[in-house]
Amino acid sequence: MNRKITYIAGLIGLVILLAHACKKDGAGNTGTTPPPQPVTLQLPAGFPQPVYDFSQNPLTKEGIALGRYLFYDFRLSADSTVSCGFCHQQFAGFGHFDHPLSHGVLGRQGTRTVPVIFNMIFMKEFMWDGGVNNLEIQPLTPLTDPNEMGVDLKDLLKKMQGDPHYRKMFLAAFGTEEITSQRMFRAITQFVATMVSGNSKYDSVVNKVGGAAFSPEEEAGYKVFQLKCAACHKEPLFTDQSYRSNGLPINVLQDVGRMRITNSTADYLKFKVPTLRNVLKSQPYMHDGRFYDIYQVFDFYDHGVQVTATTDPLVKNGIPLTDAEKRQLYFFLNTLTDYTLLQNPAFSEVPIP
Amino acid sequence: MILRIFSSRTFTILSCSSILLLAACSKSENNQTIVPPTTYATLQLRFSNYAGNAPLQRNTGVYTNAAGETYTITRFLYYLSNFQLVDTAGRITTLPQRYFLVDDAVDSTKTLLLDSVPAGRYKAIKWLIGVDSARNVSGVQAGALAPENGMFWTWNSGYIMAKLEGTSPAATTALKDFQLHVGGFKAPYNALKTVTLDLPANVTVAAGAQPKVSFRADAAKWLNTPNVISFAATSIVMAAGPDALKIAANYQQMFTVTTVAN
Repeated sequence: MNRKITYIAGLIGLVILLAHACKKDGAGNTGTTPPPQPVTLQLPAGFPQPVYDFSQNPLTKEGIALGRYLFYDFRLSADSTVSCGFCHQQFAGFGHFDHPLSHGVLGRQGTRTVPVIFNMIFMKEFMWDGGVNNLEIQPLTPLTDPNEMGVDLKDLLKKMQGDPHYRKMFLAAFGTEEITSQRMFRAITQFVATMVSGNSKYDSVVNKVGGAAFSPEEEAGYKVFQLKCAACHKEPLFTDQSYRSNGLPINVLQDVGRMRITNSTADYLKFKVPTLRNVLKSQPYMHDGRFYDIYQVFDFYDHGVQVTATTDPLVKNGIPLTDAEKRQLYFFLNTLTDYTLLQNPAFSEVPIP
Repeated sequence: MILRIFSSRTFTILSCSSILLLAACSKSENNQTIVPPTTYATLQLRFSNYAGNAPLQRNTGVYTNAAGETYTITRFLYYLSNFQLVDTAGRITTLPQRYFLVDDAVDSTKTLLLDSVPAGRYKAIKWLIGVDSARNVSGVQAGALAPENGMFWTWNSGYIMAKLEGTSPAATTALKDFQLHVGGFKAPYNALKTVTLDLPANVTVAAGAQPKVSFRADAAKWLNTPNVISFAATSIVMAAGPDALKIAANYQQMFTVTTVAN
C-alpha cells in the first residue's frame, strides 16, 4: 500500500509537471510553483469509508490551507462581518456555542441552529432537512443566504480575483491563479474534510487503546445509551443519518422539516438525527436550539414527546429515564468529547488581513 | 486505517490523464497529427428566442397568454445538454457531453458549437432541456453549470432547468411579477424533458464544412399548451413539484427548426 502511494504521488507530480510544461506561456503561471503536496487523511479505527468522492478533489497541503483561509475569511460575507468560522466554532465542535439560531450579516437571524460540521465526509446529505446532496456545494447555502453571509457569488469571485494573496493561494493549491467557484468550494471541502472526530475517550475504550477504560458511571451510561439511544444515534458516527420526527412540539418558527424538501406529508416535522460526538461541547440542542442543557434533552425524551402522525415509533411512548440513568448518560456522553478536534491547532483561526 | 483516495480507479484516471497530457504536449510542439479512425467535425446550433410569431422583445413586448392575461418578459434562460444526432439510416449518435446555458440577455450564448461530431449526414437532433440527474448530485460544477450563474437551488440541491421571469397585471405578488423557475430531477417531480426535432433537410457534418442549424424557442409556449398557466393562479414557481412539471410539459414544445445550412 505504501509503495503504491509513493508511486501514485510521483505520478501526480508528473502530471502536474507536464501540465506546467504545456501551459508555460499561459497567463498567471510562472512555471516555478511547486506542485501541491498530496495529503493522506488518517481515519479512525472502525469508521466507515467516506461518502465524499475524493477522486476529483484529492487532498493537498495547499488546498487544505486555502480552504482554512477561506473558512475564516469574514470578507466572504456581504458586510465583512461573518465567516464560516463565525458560526462554526472549533471549541464548540464547529457548532455555534450558546446560540439557539444561526446569525448572519446585518444582525440577521436564521430559523435553525448551527449544525456541527465534523465527520462531514461520512455524511450522505447535509443540513437539518437533508436538502443538500453533496459536501462540495454545502457552503453555497450559508454563503448566499441573505440571513447568513448574504453574498452574491459573482461579486465575491470578482473580489477574490482582485486579491493578490488569494491568487497566490489558488496558484499553490491548483497550479494556476485562476479563481473559480469550483476551486473555491473544493478548497473549503478539503479543509472541512480534515475535520474528523474519532479520538475521544469512548474511541480509546472501544478500540482498547493504552488500557483505556470507562469509569463505573460511564460504563453504566454506555449501557443506557445502547439500550435507549443507539437505534438512531448509531455508532461509530452516533447518527444513522435518517430523518425522524422525535416528537418535539412544533413552535412559533413553524418549521416543517424535511417535508419542505420532499413535498411529502410523510416527512412532516422530520429532521436529520444529529451526531452525539462532542455533544456536551456543542449546546444548544435540537434543530432550533431550544434546549440549552443536555438534561433538558433527557427530560424531553422522558416526558415531553408530543405525538403526531409522523412521530417516530421509537419515541412515541417517550424514553423513560430515571435520575440515575440521566446522570450516567451524562458521564457517558462526556466520553464522546474529542479534544484532538476541539484543540487541534490545524483547525484554528488564521489571521486575515 | 488509511483513506484510500488513491484507489485503483484514481490510478487509472491519473495514468490516462498523464498520457493525454503527453499527447497534448507532443501534438502542439512537434506538429504531429494523429489520424483518428473516424473524422470528427463541428456543428453549429443557433437559437432565436420568440414570443409567439415575433422575436422576443425582452422588457418591452406586451404579450397575452391563453388565460387572456397580458405580460412582459424580463428574463428567459434555459439549459440544453445531452445532444444526440440521428443519421439518415436512423442510427442515434450520442455526442460528447456538453452543457449550454442560453440566456436571452447574452447574445453570445445563443450560438452553440457542438464539437467532436462524427462526420455524417443527419436527419434529426435530440437534446435534453435541463441538466441530467448525474450532474445534479456530483458536487460543484464549472462553466455553464457554475453556481454563480444563478441556476442552482441551494436550499434543495438541484439545477433550475429553465427560467422565465416578467411582469403581469394579473400576477398576485406585490410587485406584479412572475418568476417561473422550473427544476427537479427526482421522481415524482422529474422535470427533465427531451426534445426531438426532425430537420427539414439533412445536415452534413464533415471536416472543413461549417454546417449550421437554426432554431426558434418560443417563450409564449411556456404558458399555453398543453397546460394553461394563469398568472392569477401561478405567479411564483421556485421548487420542484406539480407546477414545474406542467410548465416543463409546455416548454418541451417550444423549439422548432427554421433552417439547415450546409
